[in-house]
Amino acid sequence: MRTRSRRAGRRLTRREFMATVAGAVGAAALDDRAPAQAQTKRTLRIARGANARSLDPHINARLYDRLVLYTLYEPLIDVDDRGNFFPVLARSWEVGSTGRVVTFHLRPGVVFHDGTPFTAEVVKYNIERILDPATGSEHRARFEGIIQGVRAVDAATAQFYLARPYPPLLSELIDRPGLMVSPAAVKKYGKDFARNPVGTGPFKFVEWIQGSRVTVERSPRYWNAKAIRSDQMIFQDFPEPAVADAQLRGGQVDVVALEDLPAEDVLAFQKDSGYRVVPSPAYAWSAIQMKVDVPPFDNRDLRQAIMYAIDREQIVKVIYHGLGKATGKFFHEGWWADPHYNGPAYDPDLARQKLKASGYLDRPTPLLLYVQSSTVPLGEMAQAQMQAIGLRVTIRLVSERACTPWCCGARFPLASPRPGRPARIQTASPTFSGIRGATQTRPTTTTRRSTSCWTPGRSRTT
Amino acid sequence: MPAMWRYVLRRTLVLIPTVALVSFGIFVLMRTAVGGDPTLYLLGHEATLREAAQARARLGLDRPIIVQYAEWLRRLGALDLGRSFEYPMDVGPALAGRLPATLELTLMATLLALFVAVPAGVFTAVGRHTPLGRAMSAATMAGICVPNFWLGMLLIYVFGVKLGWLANSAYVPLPENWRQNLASMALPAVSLAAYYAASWTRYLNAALLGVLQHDYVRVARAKGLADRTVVLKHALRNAIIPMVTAVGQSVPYMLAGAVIVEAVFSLPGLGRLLSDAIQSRDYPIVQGAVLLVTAAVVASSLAVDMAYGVLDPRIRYD
Repeated sequence: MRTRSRRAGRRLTRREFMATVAGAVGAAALDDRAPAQAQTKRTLRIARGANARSLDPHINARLYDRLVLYTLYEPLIDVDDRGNFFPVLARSWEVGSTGRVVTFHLRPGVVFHDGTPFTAEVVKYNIERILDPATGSEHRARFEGIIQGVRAVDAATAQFYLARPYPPLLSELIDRPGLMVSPAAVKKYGKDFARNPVGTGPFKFVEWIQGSRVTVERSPRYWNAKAIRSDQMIFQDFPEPAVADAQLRGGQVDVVALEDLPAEDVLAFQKDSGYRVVPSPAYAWSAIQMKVDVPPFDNRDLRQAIMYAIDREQIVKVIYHGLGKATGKFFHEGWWADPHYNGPAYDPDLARQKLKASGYLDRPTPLLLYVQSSTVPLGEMAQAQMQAIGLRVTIRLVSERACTPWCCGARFPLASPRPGRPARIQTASPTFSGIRGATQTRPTTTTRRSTSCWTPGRSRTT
Repeated sequence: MPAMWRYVLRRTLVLIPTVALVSFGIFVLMRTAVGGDPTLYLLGHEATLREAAQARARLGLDRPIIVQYAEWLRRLGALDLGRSFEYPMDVGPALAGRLPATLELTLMATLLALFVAVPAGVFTAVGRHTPLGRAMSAATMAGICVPNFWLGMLLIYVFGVKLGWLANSAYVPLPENWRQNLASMALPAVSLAAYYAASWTRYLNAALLGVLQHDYVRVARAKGLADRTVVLKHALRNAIIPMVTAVGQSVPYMLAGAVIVEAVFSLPGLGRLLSDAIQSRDYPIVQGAVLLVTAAVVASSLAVDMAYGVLDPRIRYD
């Protein structure tokens, strides 16, 4: 994140995000290049790399729509930087002794932007909405066959009944399917609810000019109103990062929240005292993924040869200008899951031994490494490192959108997709459920990038 | 019925098979040659194959292509373009919402380019031996060579970053606040217009130089008419016809150029909607937008043909 705030960069929880937002605005108002309106109405203008797709958290909302969604809606519970859950709309929760009943005790006095009270009936409605095939929610498969029903015990108590004990439930509920929508608003707007969102969040919806921007303003009904420090937020779409940068420098936006900032840009902003780069906990990683259930990567020695051949330190130094960390794991420091493990070390001799043992040296065809335009430098460096131990590797470019980490793994035996699992929430999910999806991919080369982007709460864009 | 209106009617009827052919071509190409499963883009990388299958059935993508096309045609007959896969909108309103920005951008750029090209074309022809005329000729080469996305970013840098004039330049619809709307459209229009201003200048220049060689121009001069009258009244009218053709043919290219300019300036235009839709395989949007663009291209070529008749009374429609 780059803002013109002078506030110290540090890890943020979602509550603190609101405070930081105000910090950025306060600084902007003092800046002579900032517009006059910032002095009367505290507006935060955020440039982001993609346009909004849906403001209905249950239908079609993209991962990066969450940047907007979490200002409008709230989940029952959330997760912090260490992977621990904390209460939001639920004040507390407990899992029954069989593991099949999960009880949430709801925060009293919460109302939606349209005045609808938030009760256990609302929780029941939301889960049933996702489970109903007629809704067309892509999240139905997450709950189908698992959640048998939700019962409103009383206004402030909701019980989930599960078909079997299901540890990932809590982590599913912190994502989009756990965001609570107003039943009255869904009824009122029908299929246009996604353009007229109503939640319980700190900001309420003002307008969405499709392809241009989404505007939200302070909700007077918010249960924790003192945490909100800005009156309005405008999420401006800037598909071209260079333009977003220019807009930041020109004072047209206050914050740039982009998916992949080139390291050069980060360094340039770090040198400029008028801007603050806020490093986020390092969730994002770059990796090379292998499809391990088909040849040639069903060969363990070959996989290990590549694993030891990759010099992660060099990648961090050259490609990320030292702005990352060489590592062999998904989780950042402090995450409870594996605080000490740091992955395999670079060992070219061992790599050669493993390659010899794999028998792969005798084969004439080169390995194909699939890269996307954003991962070309990474791919080229990995190619050089693999070739150094005697492997032959050819690089193939595939289109950015044709290769999400998921389908990349499904389609290509060896791929370097764009960084995966950038946010807390996406790290929480596989911790419990394993990697979702039908594909078997296993990242072996992981390089963490710690300053890649702003993480306001958990809404780093993907 | 006058010949001209019969001609218009015939050309309009030709639109139907053209659109049918284009729409069928796009329909099949998007689903086969371009390929890619829309549900992948829709659901993101966390989705399971089961979720993808559910989504495919929901969108009707599990049926044969020809059945899907027949369904699309049937709905089109009822003026229903379907619903976007990606956005929570019907295709009609989605296109209608994006049309004003693109129309405004294209119109502003066309007017701006004409405003520059007509005088510049005349001047570079008449004053081709003066230093200023030569400098302008060189400038037109530069205008043709500079890509509009680069020019756009340069303009943002100069006016936004260096001069700080754009602090409030976010796009707003024209009816909402026309001042801010024009402010937000100025740089995009200049970026888009630059190439056409330069290109049309050269068209007019070449045509005018040719016309000025004609005998009737010499006669006009011999009659003692002022240079100004000879050029503007006698020569320009004949020279402008190739330029009208160029302007008409530019419309599809301008729409295409608008895609890039719209992306650079973050304008909610049709071009960007279409390019996004192609990338995310939002078939209904692609289909609807292509329909609209095809109609626009046919309409603009018709408009050019009509303009010939106005400019040159010798041209008859039959």
